[in-house]
Amino acid sequence: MRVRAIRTLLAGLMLAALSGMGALLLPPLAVAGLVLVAAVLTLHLTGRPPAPAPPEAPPDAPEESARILPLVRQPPPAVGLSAPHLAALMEILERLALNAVEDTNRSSTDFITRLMDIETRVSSANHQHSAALAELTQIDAMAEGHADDRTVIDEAINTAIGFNQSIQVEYAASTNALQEVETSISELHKELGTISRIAKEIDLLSINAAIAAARAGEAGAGFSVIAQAIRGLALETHNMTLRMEPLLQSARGTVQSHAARKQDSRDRHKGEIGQRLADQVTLLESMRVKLRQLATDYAALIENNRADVEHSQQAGQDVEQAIRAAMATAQYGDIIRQQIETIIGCLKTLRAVSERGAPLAETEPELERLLGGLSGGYVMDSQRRAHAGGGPGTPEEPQVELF
Amino acid sequence: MSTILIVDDSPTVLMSMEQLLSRFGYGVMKAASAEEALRSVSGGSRPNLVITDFNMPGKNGAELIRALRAMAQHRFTPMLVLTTESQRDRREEAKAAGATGWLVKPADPVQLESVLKKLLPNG
Repeated sequence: MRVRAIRTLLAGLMLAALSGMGALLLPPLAVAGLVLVAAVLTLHLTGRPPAPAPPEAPPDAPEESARILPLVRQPPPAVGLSAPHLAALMEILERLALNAVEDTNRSSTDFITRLMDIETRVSSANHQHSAALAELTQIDAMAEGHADDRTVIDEAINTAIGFNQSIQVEYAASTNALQEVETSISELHKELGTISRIAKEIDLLSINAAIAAARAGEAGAGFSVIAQAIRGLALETHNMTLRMEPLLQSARGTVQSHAARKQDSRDRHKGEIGQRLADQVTLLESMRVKLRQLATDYAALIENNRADVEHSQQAGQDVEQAIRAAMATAQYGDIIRQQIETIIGCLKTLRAVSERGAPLAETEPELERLLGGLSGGYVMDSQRRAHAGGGPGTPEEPQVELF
Repeated sequence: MSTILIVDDSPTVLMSMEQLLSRFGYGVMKAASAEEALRSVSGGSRPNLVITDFNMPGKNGAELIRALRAMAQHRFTPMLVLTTESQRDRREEAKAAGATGWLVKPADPVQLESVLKKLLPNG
């Protein structure tokens, strides 16, 4: 009866090991080991006597970790159940399971360590993306600020263009003014000739008047005085025109000299000044257009960069999320470990029972409790669901709550 | 800088939580069991917040919280329990033991950081 119960219990353990561990990605070697031990144990429990063997270390005992237990076969205990090697087999089974726990832990922690390393790098890249976006925003803000500068430059260009145009107008006006002055001097010279000629005629008239007054005798004496005064005035007028002549000549000479220099300069530069002013206006207009184009290109460049960085950042965040999901999946190893630990607990109990060799009536309830605990005990279904999906099973539910 | 004590028998959970909390700027203490956590706290460690798994060999998360709440210095320390989504009965048990709240494993970083900022406003 006791042997049958143990056999049933072991069959349950084997089934759990094969269906649970195998499905939960246990290392293939560990599964093969468990299958082998299960076969040996089942063969043993069917009544066939095991071949006695002395204690010896397996040839391929793991050396890479002190925590990996050697699968050393222990000598059969002096007392026990009808099957004397049962305790030794169970101890090996325990060790195998403990090693599987160790391997699972190592596998999971190594995997998660690598994932965390990747996640740290991706996270760092994401921070850099954020920094790049912040910088772009800053540049954008600066460009916005420079919009005022562009207005100032525009105004400066307009002022420069206006100034150049007014210089051109002034230049033309000054040339015209010189010509007008020269014309006026010529007119004055002509008028001066007329005045001189009139003065001469008046002189002649005054002479004739004096002659006529002398012929008149006593009666023309007063008129003779007047004719003399008129002659004096005519002479003075004539003298004045003579004095004015060199002055007008000098003024005309100055104006003509200035006009000649101007003409000479104009001839020498052949419209160079006007052309230069026109060129400067063209250049300033061109600068204005280029500045506007530069601002537009700059804005487009920033926008493109922003789109690229945002795209890259989104990709980085997706990768980070995927890595976290992978880390959650890697924690699936905990489910394996907890199940193997359950199996180890059962094996410990079985070994204790077999070593104790207690009477059937005393042992049977203990085994029944063990069976009951296995069949109705802690099942990791919820954690399986959580980890298999790479995260909590129902994302719409809150994942955190404060009481 | 606030220090958070994480208690979990899973080395992978301890690792990932440590990395997450460190990135949030918290100091981290780790314990692989409730007993180890109690030893650490009795030895003078004074975490500002405790996050504990529920299912652990030896004392479970609720028992750990109960033991910590019995200590004068931890009567008001925030304590969160890590559960799986279907463990609603465990949440109630943790609440009765004095837990401040619960978190679903594996913890969502955004929600975790948000709740930690509420519980540890001084960082």
